[in-house]
Amino acid sequence: MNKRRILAMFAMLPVLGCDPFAPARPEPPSSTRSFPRAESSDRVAPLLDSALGIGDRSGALSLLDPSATLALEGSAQTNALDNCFQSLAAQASEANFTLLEKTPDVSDTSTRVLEYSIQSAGRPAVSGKATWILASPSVKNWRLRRWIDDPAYPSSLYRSCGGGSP
Amino acid sequence: MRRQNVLIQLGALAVGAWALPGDSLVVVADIDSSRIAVSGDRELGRSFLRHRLEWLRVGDEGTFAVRDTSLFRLSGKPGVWGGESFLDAGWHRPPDSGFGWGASWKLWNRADGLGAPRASVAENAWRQLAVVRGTVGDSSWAAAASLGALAEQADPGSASQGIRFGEPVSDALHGAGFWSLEGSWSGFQSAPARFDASWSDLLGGGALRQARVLFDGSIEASLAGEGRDTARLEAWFDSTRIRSVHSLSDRADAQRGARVAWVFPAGRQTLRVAAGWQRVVADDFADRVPDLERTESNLEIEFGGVLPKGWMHRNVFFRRDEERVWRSSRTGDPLDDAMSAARDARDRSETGEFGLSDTLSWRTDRWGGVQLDLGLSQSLRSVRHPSNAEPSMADRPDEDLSKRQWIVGLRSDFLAWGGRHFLSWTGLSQEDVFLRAVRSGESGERIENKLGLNLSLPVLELARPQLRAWARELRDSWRFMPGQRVGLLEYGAQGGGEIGPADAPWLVAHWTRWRTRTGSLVGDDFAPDRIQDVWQPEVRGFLGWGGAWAFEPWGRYQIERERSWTGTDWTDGRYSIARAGTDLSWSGDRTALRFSVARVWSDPGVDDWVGSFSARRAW
Repeated sequence: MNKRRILAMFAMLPVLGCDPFAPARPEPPSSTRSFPRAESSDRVAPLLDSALGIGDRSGALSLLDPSATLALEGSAQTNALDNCFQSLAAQASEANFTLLEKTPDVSDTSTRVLEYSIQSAGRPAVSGKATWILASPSVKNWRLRRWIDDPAYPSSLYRSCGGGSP
Repeated sequence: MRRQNVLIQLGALAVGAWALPGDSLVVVADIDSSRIAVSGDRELGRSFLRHRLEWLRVGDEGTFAVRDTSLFRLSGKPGVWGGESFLDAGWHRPPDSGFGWGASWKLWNRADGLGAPRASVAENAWRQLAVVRGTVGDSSWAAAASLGALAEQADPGSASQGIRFGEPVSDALHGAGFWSLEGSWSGFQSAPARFDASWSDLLGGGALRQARVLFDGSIEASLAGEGRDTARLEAWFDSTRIRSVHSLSDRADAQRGARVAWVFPAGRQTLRVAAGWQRVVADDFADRVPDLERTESNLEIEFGGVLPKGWMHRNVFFRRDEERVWRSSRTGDPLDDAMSAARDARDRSETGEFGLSDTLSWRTDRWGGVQLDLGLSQSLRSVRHPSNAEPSMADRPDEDLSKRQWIVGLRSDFLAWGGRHFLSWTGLSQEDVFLRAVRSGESGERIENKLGLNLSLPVLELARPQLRAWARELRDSWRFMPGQRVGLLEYGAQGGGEIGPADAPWLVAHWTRWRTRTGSLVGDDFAPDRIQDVWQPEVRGFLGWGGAWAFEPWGRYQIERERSWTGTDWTDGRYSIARAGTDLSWSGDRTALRFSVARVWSDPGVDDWVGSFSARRAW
């Protein structure tokens, strides 16, 4: 069999429905419930505040990008942000986010600099200054992709999640 | 014989510069001269102060280096100081007749709440490690032994944390002895190999832990013989355990892995095959985050090279697999523990991803240098939770993300520099499918097209104007909601450039504007319900005299206007921030000073003065 025939066979695969990159078939939906979406990048912080406030773990996680990371500015170390949020959102927390600076949305990304403080019942307060990289995986659905903590805050989320080893 | 060596030394690894794994115990890294730098800045009511002192002395008696750094902030009203500092002082003497010595002292310090109205909130903690280290060896092997002492103490405040939640805050002085043993070996002329091992731990220590076990090795060989190809095998095991009053951490991290790569050039084509496996276990005994066990493997095959008549190609296939297992800490409460265990089981995930990326380029030196690039990339990422037969909305979803991306680009050395495409069309076709019924309603499809233009034409070597423009359209639809479709249309341009010599321009100015419309798609019609319009002009001038002084006035403005349809009415939003200031700098042979002051106008927000300074001196 010559090369052209082999290439033609591979080219025919998608036509015959043998696309190896096609997703699996989903089950028919059983629930119409969906989490409130952050329709604009400005809505991520208030919705996160609200989800943490009522201990809504799934709501908080739905505002995070699946590959969201938590990092310390100037350091290559990163943690999985959802791993950290699991414990924060396990119980009601009082969160405060104060916007310091923002860049406008372009090409589905946006940046916010903010000060935060998160107080969970029976746990020490987590506070600091962070840069958020927000992304929009679908139109009118903004999520937090990267949380970069300022190293000048010893009680930052990064350090409170076990990243403070010297 | 060579292959026998490869097999015999299968556990050995990394060929590189001769160094022992614990060199950082006594060697202060990345110092090549003595210098001091101080900087500070103030913005939005917060002030930051940093310093960095590096001192290096190299002589017959050895190398002595000191690095002292700090970063402190002042914030709040009234202002409260907090931050941390690190001092690293080390002396080492290279092996003389096979023997070398070294010693070091490291001091970490953190503080917060200094200057607070209530003195009780102030806290600080320090950690010190002093080590003496001896090395022995020659060009093929080396070993080292270290002895030292570790001490930590915290002076807690009323808001201080314990290492574990609910644990009393420690204010005692903790101390322990420290020891480490290291060894490195390298050899084989024909198949360079290297093996490193080190083990460090504390003697006693009470509340403190600091231990590390490290094995690392590599070997390189030519499997086809005569250096026609390169095969490399690496393997490692790295386990650390720390419990620290200073860093409030109590955790163990371990990773082991292996990586193999083979590069085989054949004529103008190159084949590269690489595979790896890694297992990472992170245990947080402070219970701040669930413990995580992650196992991943990957395979990558790349084939590329130069084809006749100016064509080039590159084809990459990759496959990645990852399993994540979480383990929440047990509280002792049977109900809590059962719920945590059930949640951990539900969260266990298996992720698989594979993809194929093909690029084809054609280049000619005619017309001032032109290159045509064609690229197609396809991938499928699958996330499964095999221990969760009945997922709920609160669980992480099973998901398939299928992506196809393509690019058609034209480069011109004459019309656009820096490898940018003069003209380009990029596209994305993506399907994001949530498999299980509880979330499958969110399954959707995205189609995106983007056109780009870059133009940069120098004028008489004195002006370098640049123009960048783009237009992007994006459509999202949902599999089980055919009537619901949304779209986005974005277009923008950036114009500007530099005036003056390329290495010392007199003026740099850019003006950027883009508009984004988002809204519903009804048939072929687009009904935007949010319109975002952004302007960003920016200018910076450079005035220098005497070769040392430079004066740089600058200004930056950003205005973002937004119109949103609430369902009954349009509402307008506006955000603007303007900054204008000047930088003044002086550079000498060994000294550099820089001052900057600016005014910020924010609407909404507060106006503020911003200032910064930095000073550096080397000797």
